[in-house]
Amino acid sequence: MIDRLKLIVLALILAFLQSFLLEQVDMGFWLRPMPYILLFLSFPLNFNKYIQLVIAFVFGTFIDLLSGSFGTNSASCVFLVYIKQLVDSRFVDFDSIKLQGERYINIRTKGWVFFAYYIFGLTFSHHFVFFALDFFEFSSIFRILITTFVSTLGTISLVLLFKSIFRI
Amino acid sequence: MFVLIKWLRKYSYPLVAFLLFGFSVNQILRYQIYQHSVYFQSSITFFRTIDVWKSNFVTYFQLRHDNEILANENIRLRNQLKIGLVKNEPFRDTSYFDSVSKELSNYRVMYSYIKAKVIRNTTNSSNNFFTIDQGKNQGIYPGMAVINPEGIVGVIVGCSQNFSRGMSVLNSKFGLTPLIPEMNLRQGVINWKGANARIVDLDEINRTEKIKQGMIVVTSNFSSIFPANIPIGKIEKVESPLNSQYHKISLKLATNFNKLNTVYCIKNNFNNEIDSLNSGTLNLSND
Repeated sequence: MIDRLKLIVLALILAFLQSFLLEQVDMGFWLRPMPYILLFLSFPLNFNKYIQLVIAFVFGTFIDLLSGSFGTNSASCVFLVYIKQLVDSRFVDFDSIKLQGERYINIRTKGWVFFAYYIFGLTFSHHFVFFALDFFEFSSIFRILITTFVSTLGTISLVLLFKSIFRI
Repeated sequence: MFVLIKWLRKYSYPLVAFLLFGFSVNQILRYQIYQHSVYFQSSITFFRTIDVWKSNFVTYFQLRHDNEILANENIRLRNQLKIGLVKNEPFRDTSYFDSVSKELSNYRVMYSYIKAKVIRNTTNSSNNFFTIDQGKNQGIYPGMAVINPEGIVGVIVGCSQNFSRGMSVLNSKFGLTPLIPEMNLRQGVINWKGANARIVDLDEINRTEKIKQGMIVVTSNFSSIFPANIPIGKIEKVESPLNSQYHKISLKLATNFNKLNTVYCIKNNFNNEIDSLNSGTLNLSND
């Protein structure tokens, strides 16, 4: 129960932070960090995968409503949760993580290298879908890739910062 | 059924993900102005390209029919010339051409023609439209008449840069006053009721007029859109109901809309002048 409450509070903080602070501050053309993906990285591994998808959709729509970008955030959140589920089922051994006393992928569970690949891959895929839908042009593919890459680095830095602040 | 349920159970997770993703993308395409316009612009271009491919393919099967109607049109045009251009004189001297050009210089060119190809055409709904592969860039504008070598086809109602959409005669909103040359009668309205793609109705002709089956119906010179004497069709059936003051006339169209391929868009070069004269805006005080 406390875990669920913690997730709801985290979701609200991240949503308002994204819409009222990060969307309002001009950080340059290439940099648009979206640390709210920390919420999806904090989902317990045994959490129902269908509920995860619905939460991703509702949370994405909530951010879309607050920031006036209909559908872009919800589509990329759904995509992120789907990819995360695929990666988790393929590369992660639930039982050994349970034995370690952890509930989700962390730096401690599989080491720095795996965690770096994991967080970079998921963040990049989320941001790529987001910027592809935002730019919506094949001819802008290089701009999409550069913006995705720079924003991914920004997002990962903020996610690691929040992880250390909230001790997630 | 069992296989389907098994398949749905197996792939339910990707299906749910795909549905939610699709719903989000649908929101983007509906509510975000930029994405909406890009999507519709590219989908229109895509479907027009498919139409052009399809039309290029189908055209090959209609070449014999097209040749036949072009030959018939040639005969009709040669008869209209009436200046003895080809009167058994295949080898003639240059003075002949001088006299012809002198004669022709007395005429004004009232109509200009732009050739186009029909890339989409419907005949089975109550309001039919067709699309041609010429648009604003080629000089097409809404209001131009469209004919083919057989007869009238319709009127242009909308243009993009390279394509145009026309309202076909097979449209309940299409109306035109025709001429029956045999009686010199300029009366009634051509109207399509939607039953048959070869038959239209000719309404509002007084029952006192002696209309007969087989009479030819053409465009009249009252229209500022269509030139005069373009074939519309032939009278197929005439009924005179006792409870009406008008005949009930069925007209067989000259144009076969199921085989529509090459058409001509007609520009009336004096349209603006005629319009301003009719609306009284042309200054006539000096005349």
